[in-house]
Amino acid sequence: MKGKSIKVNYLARVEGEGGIHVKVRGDEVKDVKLNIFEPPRFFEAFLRGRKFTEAPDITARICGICPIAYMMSACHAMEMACGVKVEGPIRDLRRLIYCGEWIESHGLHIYMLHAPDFLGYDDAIKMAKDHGDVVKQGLKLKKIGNDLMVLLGGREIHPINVRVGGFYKVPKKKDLRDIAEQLKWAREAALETVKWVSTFDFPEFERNYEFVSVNHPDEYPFNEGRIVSNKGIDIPVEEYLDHFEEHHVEHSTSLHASVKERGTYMTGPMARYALNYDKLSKISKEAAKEAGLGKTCNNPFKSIIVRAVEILYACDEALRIIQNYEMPDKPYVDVEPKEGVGHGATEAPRGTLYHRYKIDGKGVIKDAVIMPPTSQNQPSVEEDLTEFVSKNLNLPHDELTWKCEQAVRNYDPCISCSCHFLKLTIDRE
Amino acid sequence: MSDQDRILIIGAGNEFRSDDAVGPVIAKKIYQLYSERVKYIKDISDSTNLIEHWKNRKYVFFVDAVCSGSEPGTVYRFDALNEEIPENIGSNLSTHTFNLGEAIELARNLENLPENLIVYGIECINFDFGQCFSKEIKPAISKVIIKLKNEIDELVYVS
Repeated sequence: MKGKSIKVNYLARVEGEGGIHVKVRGDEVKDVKLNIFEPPRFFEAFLRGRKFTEAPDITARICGICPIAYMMSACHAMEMACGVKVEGPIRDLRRLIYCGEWIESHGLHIYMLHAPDFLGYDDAIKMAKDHGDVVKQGLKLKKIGNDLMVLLGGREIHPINVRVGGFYKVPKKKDLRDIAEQLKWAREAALETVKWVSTFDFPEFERNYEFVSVNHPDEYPFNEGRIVSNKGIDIPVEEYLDHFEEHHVEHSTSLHASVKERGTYMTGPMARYALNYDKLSKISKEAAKEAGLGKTCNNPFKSIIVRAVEILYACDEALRIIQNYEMPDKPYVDVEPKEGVGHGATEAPRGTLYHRYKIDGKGVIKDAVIMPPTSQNQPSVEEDLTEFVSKNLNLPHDELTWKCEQAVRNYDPCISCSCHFLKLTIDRE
Repeated sequence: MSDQDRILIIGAGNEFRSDDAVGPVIAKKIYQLYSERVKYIKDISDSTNLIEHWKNRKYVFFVDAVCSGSEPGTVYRFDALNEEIPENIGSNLSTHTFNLGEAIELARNLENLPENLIVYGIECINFDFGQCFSKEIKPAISKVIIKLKNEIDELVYVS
């Protein structure tokens, strides 16, 4: 083989717009570029001068799929800057609304965006013709996630009930009991989902990733914890920028990120799973085992199974929180502005989302740094593609192109977050 | 089945984006006129939920702003189950999931379509922040309200 190019101009079934260009010369992959050509969105710039209380609502607008992640990272960062810690039922409700976002986001990705790759369909609409019951199950599961977001957040996209210090209004015990019945169905459906996706055919492909995730001593991570990796990082969130850095590359309007000492890393379901397996609930561990997953999964194509395990965990965790819930006397903790710097890292469905804010004594934001998971994962996507194409150059062009798109979707990239994105080119000569 | 379970008005669009508000404003007006007989929704932040809303309904009316370059105030009407929906109607329901045409196709494959789905579109010009309609489209809003009233009166009368 002399050379060729794999080109996908607009990658489908990802959040946002972008493309991939793979350049092959002889039997060697010379270059892989994940082209992100959406214009930058300047959120960090226009946060300056706004009140610290506005950050959750402003940053929620970065993404329609994971607004809770933005709200939570912003709240935690502001609370850290102001020296406030939120505990008890308000903290539990934050985990609960995060469960809703994981169920909704993972449900959408598994059923509507990723499963068609494995079953040989261009999209979920065509898949629905042959697998109607499966798609209906996926939509119902996703809707339950949305319902949980509506119940706690006021609406499913860009919720309006989250504030620094807690919520504007909290649910009564009865409100949560009503949704618990739906969540019981969802838990069963999630269990079936794990079994279903584990029957897919997965390419033989593994990489030695540096996994990075939030890690909490007692719980599978949503909101809080240290930042850890399987290659030695174990730091408080305040030291995030000491170990991770962002840099600009010519072919992407979205910044890339790397571990300063080593380079590429992966954040997201596979990283969370590998670094927090022991915190999963019993039913989630059993389902993972039955699906053939070990305590670590290094095959990115199997991320769909890990996502299904995480939906199961989110349903189970939501039910646990609801069962123990006692309505707080006040829906929020008062947070007075204090000059300082605050950091927040929480687990968006796609991976760790880091926020850092500097505020003055009146609570005015002086500067902001936001590192979305898709930005952090971009170099890892490119390395996956380099290695995958190198090992599969003999595949027919169409099949290789399909697999490359699938390899990108393994990450459930959200280009709206990283700035937007997708389009694949394999260039051979 | 009560009229309320049979007839649904969906108003797509952002109420704070000037002309884009034609969908929600018209849907709300129709609901105010027929509150006993119709249900209406105006906040379609997730287009996959449309399928849930309209399945098992007998009549669904979908109203949206259109931006196709035609004369402002032009009114379009489509029988969505039997005609092709132009891409610029219901195209911005969500950046993350489906446009109206895709939601219809998905619902068709899931056998979750309503029995009748009528789409009204109004050619609009101003989508900036604001809560005022352009003068060119105000007559079209009244026109669509009258057309919808006539259609619903007929349905109610027939039943």
